[in-house]
Amino acid sequence: MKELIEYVAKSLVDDPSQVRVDEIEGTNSVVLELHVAPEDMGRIIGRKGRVANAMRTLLRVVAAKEAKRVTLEIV
Amino acid sequence: MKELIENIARSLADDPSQVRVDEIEGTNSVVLELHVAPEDMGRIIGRKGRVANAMRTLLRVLAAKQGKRVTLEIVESPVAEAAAEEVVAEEAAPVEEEAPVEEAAPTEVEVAEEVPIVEEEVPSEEELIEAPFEEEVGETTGEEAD
Repeated sequence: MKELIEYVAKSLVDDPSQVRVDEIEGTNSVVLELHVAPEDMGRIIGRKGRVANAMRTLLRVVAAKEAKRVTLEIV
Repeated sequence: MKELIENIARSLADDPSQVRVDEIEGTNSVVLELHVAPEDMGRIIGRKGRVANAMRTLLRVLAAKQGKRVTLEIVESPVAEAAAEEVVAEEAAPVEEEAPVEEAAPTEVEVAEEVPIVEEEVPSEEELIEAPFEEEVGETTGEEAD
């Protein structure tokens, strides 16, 4: 999951070098913290959060396979 | 763009080996044809096309950077056609256990939450190439606009 988000984020941003994903794992849930450059926040979140939500949708599919819940935070 | 979709689809699919993306490029627009195994169609499209639309959203960001428009089509891998043809060929014999049309049927999908798709547009290739912008109007403003 971490790799997926990292890959997607790196493809979308202007400054891929500043993309970092931290994964915090619980028993049934995973929190992913996506860090991007301040200038890329807008692009990565998207208008009305559309891009962020698109990433969450994809994550949910991957997480469902592992029977987990994911939370994606953009920091 | 092709790589992005390929990568995402591989992470989502049960059978990554059957994921293939064809890129057809016009001057201002790109058509991406994503081929996945029939069993993965449900997962890749998602309930009400949510997963497909998520991929389209991400694609749009990338395409905007290059000043292009993208259309993402999701197609069953050709393997399915081959299998279907086989069955058709066998149909001459009075064997009836195998129903060839099952590929896209909901029963095939085991993902509990992602109940399979009913709505996925399957326009012909010609239509899409001739009118690539229709998708934008129809789909983006559609269901997610709540």
